[in-house]
Amino acid sequence: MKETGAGTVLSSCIWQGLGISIPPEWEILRFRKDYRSGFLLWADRYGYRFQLSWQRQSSARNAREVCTDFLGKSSLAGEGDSSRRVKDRIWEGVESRKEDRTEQRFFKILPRERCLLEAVVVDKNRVKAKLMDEILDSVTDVPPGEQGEQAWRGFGMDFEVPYEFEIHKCSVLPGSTTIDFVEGGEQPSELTYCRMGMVAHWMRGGLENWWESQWQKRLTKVVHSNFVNKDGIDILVEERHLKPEGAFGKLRRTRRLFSCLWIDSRDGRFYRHSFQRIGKSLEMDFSKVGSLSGGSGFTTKGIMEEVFHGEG
Amino acid sequence: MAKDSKLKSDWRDMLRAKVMRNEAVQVLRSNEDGSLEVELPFRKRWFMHKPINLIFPFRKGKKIRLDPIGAEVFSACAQKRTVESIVDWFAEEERLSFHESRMTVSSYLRILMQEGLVAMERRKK
Repeated sequence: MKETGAGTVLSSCIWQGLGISIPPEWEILRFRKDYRSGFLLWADRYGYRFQLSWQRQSSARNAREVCTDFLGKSSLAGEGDSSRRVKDRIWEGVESRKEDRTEQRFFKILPRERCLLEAVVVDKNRVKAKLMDEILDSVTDVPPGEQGEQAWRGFGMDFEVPYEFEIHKCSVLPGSTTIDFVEGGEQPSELTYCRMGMVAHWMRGGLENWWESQWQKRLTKVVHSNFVNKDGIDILVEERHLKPEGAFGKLRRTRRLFSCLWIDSRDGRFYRHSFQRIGKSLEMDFSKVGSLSGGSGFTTKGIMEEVFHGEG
Repeated sequence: MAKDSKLKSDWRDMLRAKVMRNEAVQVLRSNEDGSLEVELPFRKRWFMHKPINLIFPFRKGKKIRLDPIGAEVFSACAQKRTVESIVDWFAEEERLSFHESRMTVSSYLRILMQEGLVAMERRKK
């Protein structure tokens, strides 16, 4: 959380190497997960307010040129009369009338990977100018850390992902977010970060029993399972072997699944941080399983290493 | 870049709409798990009276089972209130964010409306 000069407290969001500070009541309602080209769209309770799009390895020379292109295209589409140039301190922008609202688009190029950013203020009259300046100023490039770890923050989760992993699936439903990352190579690995709400409606018989009920007994074997108390939260730390299914299942290799599961005391949500890889006998490097922290700020960093150290 | 020109950028009207229960709906049973069984009576047609109904015992109404979340939303519609107030109440009750609650509540309200259990009154601008 960061307090702005306008007295508004902003919370930060980091997605695909881009950081931004946004009012905490704004939520991401639409997104595209791709690294090369994607977007995030935020809304307050009454409507869409702000969109940030990115395009890496862009061929555009500078933001001014992008603005000129945009104005040219608008003019060809017959919207040219209502469009005009605007300028923020570091962004080049265009303002245009769209039905009953005034839309502003700002462009900027980040030097690393020539990332073209486009920030869209969906309705200028519904967002205070000072707040918009604060938001635009906060957009930054977030390169990987010293160990190559990627920082992510969004959908109520704050997590770290090793450099080799790429986002694979991102499922966001009301009260349930699951983000999967995969690492290619000979032994493909998978990292899962999950946050789910309305726990009382679907979790029956406690965390351990519910987790056990998610697996078919004949295809899974619990190798290690115990609760670890950290910062007053009981975390179920578990290793399980998953046998492959299907006609040729016996020919395929077993997967090892390491998980940290808990229910956060502050927001009442269920969190899961899992790491999965093929092969029972391979050595594990637990320093490369990332970390997840939830509502109360507790993090899984180092827990798997601590619990499974020497067992890999 | 994302194409956003076709987005409906504002849902204020939907949030201002008032929801009310169909007064004809009868609650038959509320279960321990929070689910609810309700009955929506059929309108009596001309052939549903005596003596035909003595030979063909017509059902009096449609029985509907609401899951615990559906039952919560249905109970919240007991007084005539706006969608926004139901969304706020549900968000607090279930510790959800506003939009998580809005999406859940609106999908349940749609089902309740399709079943004829609630009606929605939209305000003019």
